[in-house]
Amino acid sequence: MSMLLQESSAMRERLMHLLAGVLPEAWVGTGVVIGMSLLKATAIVLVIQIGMLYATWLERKLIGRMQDRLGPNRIGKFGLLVPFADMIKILTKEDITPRDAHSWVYNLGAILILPPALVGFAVVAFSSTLIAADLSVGLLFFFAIASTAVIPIFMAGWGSRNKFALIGAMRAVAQIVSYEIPQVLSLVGVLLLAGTLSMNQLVGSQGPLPAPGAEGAVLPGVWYIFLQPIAFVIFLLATTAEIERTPFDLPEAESEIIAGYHTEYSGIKFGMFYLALYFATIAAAAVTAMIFLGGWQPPVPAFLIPESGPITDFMYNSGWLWMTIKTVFLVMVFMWFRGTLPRLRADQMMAFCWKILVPLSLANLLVTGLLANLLAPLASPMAYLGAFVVANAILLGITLWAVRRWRERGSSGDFVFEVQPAAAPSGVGGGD
Amino acid sequence: MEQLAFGVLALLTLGAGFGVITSRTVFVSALWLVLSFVGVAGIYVLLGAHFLAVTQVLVYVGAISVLVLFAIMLTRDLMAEEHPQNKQWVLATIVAGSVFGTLATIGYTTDWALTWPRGAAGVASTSTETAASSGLGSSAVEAIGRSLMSEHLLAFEVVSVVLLVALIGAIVIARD
Repeated sequence: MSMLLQESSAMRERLMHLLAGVLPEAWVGTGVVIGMSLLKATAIVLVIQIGMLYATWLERKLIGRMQDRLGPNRIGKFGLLVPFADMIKILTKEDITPRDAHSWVYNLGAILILPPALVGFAVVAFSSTLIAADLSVGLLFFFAIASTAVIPIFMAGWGSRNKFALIGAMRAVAQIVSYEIPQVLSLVGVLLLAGTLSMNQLVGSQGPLPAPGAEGAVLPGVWYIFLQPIAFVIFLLATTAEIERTPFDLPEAESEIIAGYHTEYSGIKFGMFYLALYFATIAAAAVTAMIFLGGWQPPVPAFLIPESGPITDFMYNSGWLWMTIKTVFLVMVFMWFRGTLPRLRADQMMAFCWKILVPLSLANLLVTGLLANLLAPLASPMAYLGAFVVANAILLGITLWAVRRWRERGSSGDFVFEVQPAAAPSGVGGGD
Repeated sequence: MEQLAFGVLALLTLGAGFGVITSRTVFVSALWLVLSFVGVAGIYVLLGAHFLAVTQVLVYVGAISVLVLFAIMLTRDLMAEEHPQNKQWVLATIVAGSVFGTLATIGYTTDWALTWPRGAAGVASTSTETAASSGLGSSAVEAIGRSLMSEHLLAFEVVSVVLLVALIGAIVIARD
């Protein structure tokens, strides 16, 4: 993949040569810009599409193993061709539009579900040079695009004219709008330390390699998961809720409301929702890897990497490999959640967001702001690391103490961690 | 190229706005409104105000329109066909006409010269690729941040208190 990037300027030359023969001279520049954008977009979609196919395979295989089953193992070696069989099946199913559905809202909902999950990849840095658009407001762009995913869900739920679809859409919107707050608030601490909104610069500030275009070494030079562990946990949980994966899959809880907002969709229209779910999962994993796990930075502390030699070159030049490993790891964490955690009830889901995640992320922001100001004159990675680890440990201790006290006093009847006998059983594994 | 893009975006915004007032279902009107917001965000991009464009999408498309849709869903009989027509069109014409008149007057009388250096406001002339790689848009974020924390500090603090009150209010309501 990095080969592809080095070929990029050569491709631009060839494209210019090609277009010069066809277009009038004034339009060649525009044509090259559009052509290169199309090529980049196609490359990203191809990679993500294949990633998505094998994410479905990986999910079945992993959850199968977790539940003491074998998972898919019939078509191809280790069931590797199952995703293709699935695609053929989904494409040949009957395409249905319910008689009472609002036909264009219903159909448009299935189409528009994809762009919010896909466009975010424009700011994902697969390596320090392999990024489609290194926007100066890249981080904000990603969350802005992701936040629009609510609208097609609403269109699907309303357009279907089905009570279950409507309930699913209402749940989805309540969940996504609520969890957006801790998700973004938990990032403000990271942004305070990084001082940039550009994805590439954000990754560059976490390790030995500076991002292209950055002047000098940028502090703090440590992965943000070590500086902001509480923010990482809040972000990971809120992101799981945003992409509606178990345990936050109430909008499509099949044991309660059939399939939620996509109850009425069949064939490839259902396929679009399925695709969007996996695209969103991969995008969320990639962005989490970039913000907290150092993206394309080598997965080894700088002082362990020798000054020069083949190992050094390998460590510093294979950013795409590190990024892929980190992303796949986080995708597997999301699958691990699905294999082990039961689904939350609607009131538990809301209480967890508003009573725990939001106050905790505000407290974390306060602590980070104070420390960042105090530490600014010291300016060494080790000072940052020590101070933040201690501060986060104290914050975590206070939180756990408050939660325990709260539970002992029983001041609120619907406490989130208290599993009641009547709680819905988990429906793991049946959602495909 | 820029003229063409502006034309398409302006048409999109106005056409969607027309859709808002002509569609017979409130839910569909709200969807047209979303499209209109997207068109406005596109015009911000053309002006080189990338931060503003992203904020427009985040706040208006991602949040405000969702609130509008949610309010419609909670207050109306969704399964029923509806024809939202009432006898208030005279009043509506007066209100809408005066708002439009005020905005048009302001738009016509304002001196639209840029109030800060063009470099800081981002670039409209070069392609997005060079703008992004030279990090010009970043200084726009910085400039907005600086002016919020100096010139408009009081307004900024008041707004943040209002937002905090809203957050606490939501938590209090959730506790009941």
